[in-house]
Amino acid sequence: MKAAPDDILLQKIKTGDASAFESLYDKYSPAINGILIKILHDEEKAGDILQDAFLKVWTNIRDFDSSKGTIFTWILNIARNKAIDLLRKKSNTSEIHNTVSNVDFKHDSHQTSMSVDTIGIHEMIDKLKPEFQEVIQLAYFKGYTQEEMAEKLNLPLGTVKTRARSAMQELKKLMN
Amino acid sequence: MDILEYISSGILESYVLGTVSDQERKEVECMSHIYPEIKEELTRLQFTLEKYALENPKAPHPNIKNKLLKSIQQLPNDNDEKIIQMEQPSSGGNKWLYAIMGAAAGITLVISVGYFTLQNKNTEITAIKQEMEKMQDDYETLDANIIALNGLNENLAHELQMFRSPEFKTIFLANVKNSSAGTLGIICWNKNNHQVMIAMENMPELPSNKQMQLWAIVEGKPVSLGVLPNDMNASFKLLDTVVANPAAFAITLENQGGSEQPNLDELMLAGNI
Repeated sequence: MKAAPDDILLQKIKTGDASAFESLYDKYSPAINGILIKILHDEEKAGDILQDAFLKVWTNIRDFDSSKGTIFTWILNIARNKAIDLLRKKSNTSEIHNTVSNVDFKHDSHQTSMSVDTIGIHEMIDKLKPEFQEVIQLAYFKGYTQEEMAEKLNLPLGTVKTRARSAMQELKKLMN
Repeated sequence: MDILEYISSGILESYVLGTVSDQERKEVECMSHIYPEIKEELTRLQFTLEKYALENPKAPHPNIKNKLLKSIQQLPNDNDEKIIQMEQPSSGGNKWLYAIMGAAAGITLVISVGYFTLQNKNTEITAIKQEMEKMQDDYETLDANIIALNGLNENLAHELQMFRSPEFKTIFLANVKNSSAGTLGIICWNKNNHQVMIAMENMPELPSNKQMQLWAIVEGKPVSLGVLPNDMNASFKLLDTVVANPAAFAITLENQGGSEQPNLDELMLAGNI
């Protein structure tokens, strides 16, 4: 069954169409869930955040501005922000710094992926320099601010900023 | 505005990575709205990051979906009450057009309801004729509004182009006097042909014997660029005088007809290049 295009789903959801909302959930929840798991390293917590995020999508659907980006990006931002908030609330920083997968972020779940597509992306990611992977990890998956990254990596703020840019530019090259 | 410089500053990367401040975030969104090149780069970066992050999708537990669907049903159903909005491509003119048309449809509806409650046939017919005449007037007004809005749309598109062109320097004239608080002057000076375009926002009420006069400061001396009409508005007007190397612009309040030298006690707005 082919998924309906997003703009049609969006129209319907705005009029309160629950089954269109369900289609949106079916379409994007696996991807969002995967990213939440990467951020939280906890499937149950990821599931909670996923539910909260989609609930917020339903109640705030009128706030979505399609000129600013895709609905996927919007949902992802809502979910990611909630996840980062949760990470920060945990006063126990050992959870953030000592989890096993944190040690080897480059090969997170490397062994479990089976599809040809993900193998392709893994190869690309492996080509990305470790210091680039590191900034992206810290900024995007751990919600570090630039100041926090500068402190953690013991680098000047300016270097952090340029490294983040270079990382994204390099990633862009690898992806195309 | 150097687009390439903005793009290479790294702020777009920070935006997608989530490390920007609220202020920076709004700035990027604004820039992205004005400059398609910035929006394009932003979209590419966002897409790249999402592709990177989307390594391992994982279907969530089915319970989550059940709980979610239950909770949306329990919410107060204000989604149902909404009339299906007509989604328009974001063009400011069209939004107003549809608001006006919606109002006209409302007028029509009210008129029709009024019609059915009348008892006497003759009275009915007379009343209908009168209503039709009124509707005709309303539609003529609508037509005029639509034409005006289209014109405005065109002007806005043209002005946007002007702001973005490297040929023009944009100078904001801020108020220096309380009496002109809230007034903003905007000058677009063409570096190539030295023409001056000016627009005003929130022009104050002026006494009938006074006029605003625009001056350019050239090599330390004020040069008159003429008096401004008292009904200046937010549409740009091209001035007759050109100026080759202005360092700053200023507006003073002068007597009707203008003066040879600016009255510095009545300096209203000024801005440097």
